[in-house]
Amino acid sequence: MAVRRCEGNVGASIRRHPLIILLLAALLVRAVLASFFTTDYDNTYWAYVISNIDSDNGLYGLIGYCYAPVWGYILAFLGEFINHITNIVMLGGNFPDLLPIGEVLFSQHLATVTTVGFNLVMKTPLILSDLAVGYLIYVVMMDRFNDRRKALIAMSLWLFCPVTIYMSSVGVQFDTMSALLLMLTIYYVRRGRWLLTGLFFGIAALLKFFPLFGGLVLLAYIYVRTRDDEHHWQPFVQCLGAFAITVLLLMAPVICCGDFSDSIAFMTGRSGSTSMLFASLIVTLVLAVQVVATVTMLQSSKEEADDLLFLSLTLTIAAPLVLVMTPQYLIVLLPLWCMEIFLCPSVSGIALVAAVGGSLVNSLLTQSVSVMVSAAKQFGIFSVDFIRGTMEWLSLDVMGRSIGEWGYYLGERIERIGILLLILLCIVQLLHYWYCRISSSNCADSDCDES
Amino acid sequence: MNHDRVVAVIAIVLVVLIGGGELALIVDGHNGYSSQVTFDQGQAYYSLISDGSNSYDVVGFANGGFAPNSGVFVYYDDSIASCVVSGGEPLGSRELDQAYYVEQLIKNLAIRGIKATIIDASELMLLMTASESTTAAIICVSGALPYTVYTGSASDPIFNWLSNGGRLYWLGNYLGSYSAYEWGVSPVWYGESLFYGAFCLNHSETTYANEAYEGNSLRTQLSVQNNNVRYAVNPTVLSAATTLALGYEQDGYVSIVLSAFGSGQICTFGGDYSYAQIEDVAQVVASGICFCSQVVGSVHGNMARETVSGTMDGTVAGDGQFIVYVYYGGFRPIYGQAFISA
Repeated sequence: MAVRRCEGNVGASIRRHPLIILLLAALLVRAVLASFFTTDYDNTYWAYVISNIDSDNGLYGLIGYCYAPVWGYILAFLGEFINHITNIVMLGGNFPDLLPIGEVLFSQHLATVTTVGFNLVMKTPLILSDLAVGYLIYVVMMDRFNDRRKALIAMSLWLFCPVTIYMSSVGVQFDTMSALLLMLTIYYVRRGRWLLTGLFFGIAALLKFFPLFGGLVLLAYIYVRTRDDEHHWQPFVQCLGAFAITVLLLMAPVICCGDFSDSIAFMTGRSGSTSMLFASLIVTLVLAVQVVATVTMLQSSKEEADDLLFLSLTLTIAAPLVLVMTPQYLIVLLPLWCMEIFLCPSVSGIALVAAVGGSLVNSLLTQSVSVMVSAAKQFGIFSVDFIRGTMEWLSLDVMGRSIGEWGYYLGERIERIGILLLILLCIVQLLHYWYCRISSSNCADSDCDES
Repeated sequence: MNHDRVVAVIAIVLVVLIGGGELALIVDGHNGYSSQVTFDQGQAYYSLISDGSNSYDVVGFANGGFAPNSGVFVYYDDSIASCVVSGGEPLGSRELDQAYYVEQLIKNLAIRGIKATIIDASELMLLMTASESTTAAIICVSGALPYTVYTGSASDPIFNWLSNGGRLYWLGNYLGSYSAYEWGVSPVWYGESLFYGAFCLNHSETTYANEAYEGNSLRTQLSVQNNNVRYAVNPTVLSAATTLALGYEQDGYVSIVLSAFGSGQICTFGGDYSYAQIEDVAQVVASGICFCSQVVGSVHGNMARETVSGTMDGTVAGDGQFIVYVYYGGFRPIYGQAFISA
């Protein structure tokens, strides 16, 4: 009887406060995973970067950091937090019995492990960022559709997406912050807060470059929203001014220290790893979708612009992702994808499953059980022999590739197919928009089957 | 719930996180680290100060009559050929070629309190033939010694310099196997025997060591990381009395080997260019260890915004050199300093 009453209370609570319950559940899942599993390579490098800063060599003075500066600033903040507030030591030692893992599976594993305390300090802002993105998805969806069910579904798709959970709680990847900055940009541009739009878009552009591809669409959206106003140039001045000042303020230390080329090294390094023909094709695709999305936005009415904003941003940010496919890059696109899932749930859903599945297979097989290394050494709950054995097994050759390499190879392609399917869906939606416009038919209620 | 307010809080927290970090980098990018060691009647009294939260290590060595390095020089001459394999560090970062390696090495030495000077081939020759610089340390990262000091003959200036107390820190290729000129490198057959008196270098396919060298605890005491044993020395081929090995071992080859040469010393690091190797070179040079070093004590611990004091007994050093090397940060040192008894 008491159990039934308790179940009833929980059910009532979920019905009354679904937003809070979902956020807490998402937090719980992440907290459990974050305590036991950590990607060794990336997180050790974050510790190295904080050490470099501690040794008075800045972000780029010593080998370790090769991104635009914003993530480095966050690392500097976390380093200050560790140094001035906590008793945490970042590195937990170097273990010879882990040396063999350095040679198997992409040679990107280390015998030097980070401490559990450091892992949690690094993951906490990323996990909170996941929750903040989920919350913003809910708020933006409520604002857009005034439909709580849709808002909760979109938020849940993000919060409980395995890739989202993995990248912040296990992978210690900062792409979730890129998603958060993009969501703040969308939130403020829809509210007509031009200064804040420029500010957050500026930060987003210097955290990871992908949001930058949505810049033209944002400007076109601002134009449509304000073209009938008397001082329609003012929003542009405010937004572009805030963007320029933000970029300048963030890049000033880098430029002053002569580290500009180092700050874009990662982008040039990764894009250089793709074949010229494929790169040319994708660049053409990126340029084409930029033109199509921007022109469509410019032709739209104020009412249409809101829907087109999500569609166009999804399209323009998805296109460059096809060029450089690593599992975590999907994160920046996922909030938009979750919000656009209702456009054509069947196709969009299949594409999402493919992209998430590919990304997950890629992550799980390339990192595999190396994510247990830190806990194995500090909690003793996983056996190093098991970790080594499994990684060696994943390195076994099967038809010219190791099992891990097959995971990487297949995962990357499946993820790419998913994103291409999404791009196709967005293009079909835009064509549908143009068809309705040219034929002057009322397509307001059309669904994806009609289009 | 007022969503605008919640979003504003999220936005403010994010701006504070990023802006605060940027400000910390500009204004106070580093923490206050220092240390003091005083020697009295064979005892070393150390005092370690850190404004941050770090691990610390204090290692004491008895170096007998082996005098400390009188200066540290890095040979780099882009007009003379080299024979090294550049390293591939984190994807996207700059290629670890010789120029970048030297730049990074000098910064790593500076972290550990060593001011190193770059010298070219002619300056190297002058240094090796000048009488007052016999106990200087020369780090050679070019994989081939320049013809100004080495052509493959036992009468070359480098051997005289080593015999008289010079210290050569070598990496990047097989020591003695090449002589470098402006036009390229010339192979020297059996050159390694001129330096080691034997054939002891790793010419096999073995590259990475999967075992720690068990002959001593210096691997952990100095936080040695590089386990690449390509070009490395097999210390068992050399005289045990004049050889010290540390680091990682595979098939008898050890990643770091210090061996005597007359009154001087050769320190050989295994492997192609890597950042782990740079750190190891900086640790070994800064710590002041030599082929005859004996560890008299070591302390490892953590400290957070405090001063840690202690004593280390160095009476075993007797009248010889007693060196106390202090470093913070473990396997990624952020501060280091060696103290030498008078």
